[in-house]
Amino acid sequence: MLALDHLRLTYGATPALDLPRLTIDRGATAILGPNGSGKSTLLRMIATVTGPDSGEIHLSGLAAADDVERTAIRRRLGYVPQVDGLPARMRVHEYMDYVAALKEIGPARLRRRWTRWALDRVDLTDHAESKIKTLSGGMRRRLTIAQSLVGNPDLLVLDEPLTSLDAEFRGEITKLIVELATNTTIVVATHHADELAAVCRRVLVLDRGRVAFDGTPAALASRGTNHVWETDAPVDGAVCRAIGPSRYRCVAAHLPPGGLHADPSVGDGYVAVVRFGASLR
Amino acid sequence: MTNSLEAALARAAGRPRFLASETMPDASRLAANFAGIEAELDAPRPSRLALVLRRIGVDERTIPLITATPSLRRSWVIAISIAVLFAINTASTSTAEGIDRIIVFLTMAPLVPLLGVALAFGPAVDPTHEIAVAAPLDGFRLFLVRSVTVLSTSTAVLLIGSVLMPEGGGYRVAWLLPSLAVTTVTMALATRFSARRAAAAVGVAWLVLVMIVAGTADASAAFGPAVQVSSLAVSVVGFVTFMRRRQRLDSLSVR
Repeated sequence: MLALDHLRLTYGATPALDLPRLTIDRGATAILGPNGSGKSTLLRMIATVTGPDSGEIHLSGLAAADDVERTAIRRRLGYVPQVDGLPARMRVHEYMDYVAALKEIGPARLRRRWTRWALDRVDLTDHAESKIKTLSGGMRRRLTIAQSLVGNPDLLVLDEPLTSLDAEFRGEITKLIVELATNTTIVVATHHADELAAVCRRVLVLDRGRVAFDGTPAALASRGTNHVWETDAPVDGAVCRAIGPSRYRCVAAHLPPGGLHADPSVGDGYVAVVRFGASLR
Repeated sequence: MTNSLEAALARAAGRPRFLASETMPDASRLAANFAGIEAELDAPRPSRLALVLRRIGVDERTIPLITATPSLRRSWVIAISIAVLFAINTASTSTAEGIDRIIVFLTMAPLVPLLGVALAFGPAVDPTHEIAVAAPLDGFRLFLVRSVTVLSTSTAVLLIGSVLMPEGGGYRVAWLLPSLAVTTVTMALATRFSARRAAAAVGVAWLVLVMIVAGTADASAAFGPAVQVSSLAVSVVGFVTFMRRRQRLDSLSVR
């Protein structure tokens, strides 16, 4: 179990994160929020890359603030940062070998087995000999996900894992996350509310560093009830996105006259919470 | 032979449960074993550098850490070599005599490994830095492995340059101890500041020191016995400080 105890962080005078006590159990927990809401900051803290000004992080009783226990946490951790951070000049298998060495996996033979296993999970085995600079954006993202799987960690921290992926691989990676979530604690920040957050066990919405919503995907979707409709043209004052030729799905605090309710999705509920949260409560 | 085989088969025939349930691996174990065999058969070709490191006896766990060093590229070695060739050419065409003829080389040589260390570790130069921080491997070990690697490579190239210098006698290698001193001080400071900032500060301090000493006395004083002994003392202090503060390289922040 992952316990986040009143984490606070400020950049100068600006509060970046101010969270209550949160516990995250096995399964996938999605973190949604607009840019600058504190998603990546929170994930970097959970990944022990940076520390809070105050508050504590524990994984199965191990404290991230303690030097020895932090190393023990890192032994059980897989991390996908927001920016891929791949060395362009290296070959895929060399990079995976390097990450396996960083994860203290000793014999080269064992590192090769982990490399093969992890590349297999993201369908990159055929590219093991390729230079990273020759990979497409989607392949690079899959490689970053593959490195996080080396060692089969108990805790996976994934920052925007679906970025740069086409629809097919977004589906594949979502399926992989759901599969891994059966025996792993996964914390995943994403903008893909309907594709990824919808299949998670729990969703946290962050807004300006605070928790704006904490519940199941169904509960988040229900926040959009009576606030979503479909129309032929974008509407002022509403958040509208194209869903087809001359077809828009809109979310607003109030339905326009004549507007017909549509069933809200997780993405609609998220928009309702972030954009119209105050007026919906 | 035949008799013993028959005897073994007869013994086995009497123990069918042993054969079926105790010696036969289960399906998942079998699959894992085949995956392992397959991984070995399809093992990717290691890089030339990895092969060389293996041949000279570098530990298997350390090889990937060295080959991933950002500043340990072919372009880095080529850049140092060009700089050394330039210094040799300057010395060859100079009309000065004695140590004055190689003073540029002696002054610049300690800055080469310094630059290498600055470019070996940190978020600004290493794209994998954040992943490395979140990994269990000791940050101190990674930094040390990379620093030693860069220091060794640079020193090897510079030593070849020293041998090729046209003049200077024993002064041709007078950069060695100052080089060690500035590098260890940089490593010690890197436990508090970023490696790049530490290297920049130490590099400037070194140049100022050489200018002051060479300005007040003659050029040979800047690389004379007093400076050599001082460099050795500074190296020891720098290394001890680095070792004592090594825990800071694992602290909760990306530097």
